[in-house]
Amino acid sequence: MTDPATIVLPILLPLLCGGLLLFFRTRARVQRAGLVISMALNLVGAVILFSRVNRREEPIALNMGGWEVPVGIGFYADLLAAIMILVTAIIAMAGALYALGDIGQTIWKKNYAFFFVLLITGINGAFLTQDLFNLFVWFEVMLIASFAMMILGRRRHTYEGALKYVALNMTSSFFFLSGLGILYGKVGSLNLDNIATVLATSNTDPLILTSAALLLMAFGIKAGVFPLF
Amino acid sequence: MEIALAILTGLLAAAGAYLLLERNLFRILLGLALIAQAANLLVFSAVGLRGLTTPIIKKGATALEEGHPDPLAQALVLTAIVISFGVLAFCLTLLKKAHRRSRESDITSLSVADS
Repeated sequence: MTDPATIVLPILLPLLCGGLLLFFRTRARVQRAGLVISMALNLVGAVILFSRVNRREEPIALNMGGWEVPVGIGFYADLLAAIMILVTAIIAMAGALYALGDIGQTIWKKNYAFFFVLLITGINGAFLTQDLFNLFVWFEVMLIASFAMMILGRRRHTYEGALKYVALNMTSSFFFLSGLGILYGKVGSLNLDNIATVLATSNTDPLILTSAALLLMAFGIKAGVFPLF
Repeated sequence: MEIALAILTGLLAAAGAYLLLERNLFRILLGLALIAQAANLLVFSAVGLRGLTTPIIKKGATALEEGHPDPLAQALVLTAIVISFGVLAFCLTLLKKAHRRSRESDITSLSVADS
């Protein structure tokens, strides 16, 4: 496998496993085994990507469909991204093992494993993408999986928490969208590298400051800076 | 055209924020839907509204000619619409389930101990 191809492993492996898991939703034992196997595969993918990135001089980059940067959407893994993917994979593996003992039989039959795997796919995608809008999309993949996982339990207070969480996160997603829209209008590119190059020289434009405030607010809400829990 | 869109975006966002602060769950959802539209319009107009021509790169050229609308912004808005539609549909189901469970539509009536 060539180096650039390894960059899709942390997304492709969990997503494929998740798709397969959907076929066996009524069989709790298959779901349990499937979740552990998919997280193990994800861990293997993360280790391969990390070792490749670690061995190379320059980061791994891959443009989807062979389209070059201003048009295409790129994936990009430097050492930091590879470490984050590896850390995510290790935590996800531990989480999957814990879920074996903690999650009840009925919840396994409600596609718990699929949403778990989808969540990890979203996180991996967010770490690897090189495009601001693509980052937004991966965040949404992550969010919708977490929304679904929140209400699998179906107790009374589940809905209260879930509604507040969904409303807050949707609001922050729209801040994010507005911020990146304004930034794109000003910079003319969504590629994170290009944006960084442009902003290094001109960063006092009111529109750019507005978009910075919007993005800060969006990531702040998503990171739990606001509201103060 | 830009002025009209700016005013419309502002109105949508203001109405959305007002509804979001209500206690009625259905109004909160409507508020989210309005804010979603405001964000979409903002992305659509932030790139600039230029002409009504079709943005196709001419044969032999490598880039779009000046004066064309930016097709990427429209693609972004389209994706954002699909995402917000999906999340709103999820929210509606959630709302229906919460309502069926508690027979209340006031968000504070759902709380047990948490605040």
